[in-house]
Amino acid sequence: MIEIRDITLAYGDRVVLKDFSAQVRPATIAAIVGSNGAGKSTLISAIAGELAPIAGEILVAAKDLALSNLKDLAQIRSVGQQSHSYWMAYSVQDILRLGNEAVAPERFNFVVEQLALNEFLEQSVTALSGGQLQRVEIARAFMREVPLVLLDEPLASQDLISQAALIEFFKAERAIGRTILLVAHREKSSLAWCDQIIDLSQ
Amino acid sequence: MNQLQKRWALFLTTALVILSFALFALSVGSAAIDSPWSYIFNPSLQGPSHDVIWDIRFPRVLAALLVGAALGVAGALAQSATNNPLADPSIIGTTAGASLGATVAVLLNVAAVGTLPVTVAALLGALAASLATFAAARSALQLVIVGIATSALLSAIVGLVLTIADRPDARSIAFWSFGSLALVTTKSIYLLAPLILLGTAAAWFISQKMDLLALGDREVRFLGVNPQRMRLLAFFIVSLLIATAVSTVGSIAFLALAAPHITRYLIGPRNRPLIVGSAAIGAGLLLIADTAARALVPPFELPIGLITSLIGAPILILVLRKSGEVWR
Repeated sequence: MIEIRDITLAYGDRVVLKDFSAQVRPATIAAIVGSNGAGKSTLISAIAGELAPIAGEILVAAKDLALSNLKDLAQIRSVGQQSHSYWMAYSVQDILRLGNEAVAPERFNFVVEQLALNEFLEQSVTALSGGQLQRVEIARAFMREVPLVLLDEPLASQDLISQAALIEFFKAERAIGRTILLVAHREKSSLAWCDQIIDLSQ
Repeated sequence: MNQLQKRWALFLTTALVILSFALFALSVGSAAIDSPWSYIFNPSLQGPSHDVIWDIRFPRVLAALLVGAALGVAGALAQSATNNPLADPSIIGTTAGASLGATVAVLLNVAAVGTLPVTVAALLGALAASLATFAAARSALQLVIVGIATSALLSAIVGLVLTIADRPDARSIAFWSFGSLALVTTKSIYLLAPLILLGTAAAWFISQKMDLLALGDREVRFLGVNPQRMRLLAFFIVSLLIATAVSTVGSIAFLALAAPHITRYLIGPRNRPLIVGSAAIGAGLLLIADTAARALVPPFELPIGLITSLIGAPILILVLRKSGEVWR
């Protein structure tokens, strides 16, 4: 699903990742781990097509990212950001549907139920806790049924029960063919449910 | 009541209040008229009172409604386009740019006040100023600071140019900085109505897509949409509305900021109903303000900008204290 060939990532003069290669197979869950500043979020950003590598190439679904425009990319992948702040009091329901207007009702209800957002649908996004807001962002990323979902620290603000539920949800999505690449700020030993670990600290 | 019923109830109430107040506004003014209602409900009744009501007051009432609607829509669009609760056209530089464009066009003898060429000049000034502000700012907070600086700079230039030029037809500095509807005629309506209706229709047309911008630019790009392109279109519409208003009645304080906030408090942040609601609230507020400006201490005209602030500011503060919006 993802093919990374000898990429170098940099912000201006500051090189974050050098000559890095990796592969992620379709319908798997892969976790990126590494110490602070190792370039985990930068790598997600590059795979999302936001940050162009200064050397090497990235292929997603066999397409070179350098040759894809915003619209093409949106068909291939979605991104769940780590945190988000809203100031306008949109309802959770409105936010979940923004950009996802065509989503089937069954899909909408399934994702909402799996991420335990039912009781918040009518509530304003400005009234949610950090953990609830993060689940809204994850739900948004899974609404449109794209082959690849990129998530930046999806478990960071969740309690243990929510973490377990999220992991079950990710596995269910994998079972229907979705590829999930996530940044995990945790011990490798607690990531046994992932198919692959990409360690940036080595 | 569900959201839709609430919106309709509010829309009908506002329309009814505006209509009743418009009739009342026709009946009051500095000229004493015996039984004004007979002329209002029977426009074919001739006489000097008919002329005062239908040739002087009626265009002014219409202009207040149109300009108020334009300011409300422009404010709503500016706030949504920049995803910033402080983005009022008079803060992000649009209004000052329009004043400068119009002033320069008048002083260079390119056009006379209240004509289409002045509006075009105001549009160019408004567009240049808002785009410059937006290009120079690197964050939402900077947008406000850069905008205040741009506005101050351009307003100062307008003031200097007008002081040096000292031409009677350029109208006073007070007109360009506080606004006035005193000189509105039927001719002004022929300019205001089509441009403001066009701008409002365009705003309504792009409003649904504008909701995406609430997600932040990064997420909008992830969804395959270029946020800058949407913003450019929105800025063009804001500039058109503000240029039309400013070139005809000068700059009127505060309404463009207050109307969308009041509307969001009443019916929520979605842009399509917000555009319609802000137009109605803006129109109603300006009509009330202008009627007060001309009828409170006849035969004197109070500066309209003072009345809009006097009415708008307390409502805005009250609404913000109760709203579900969170500004970090």
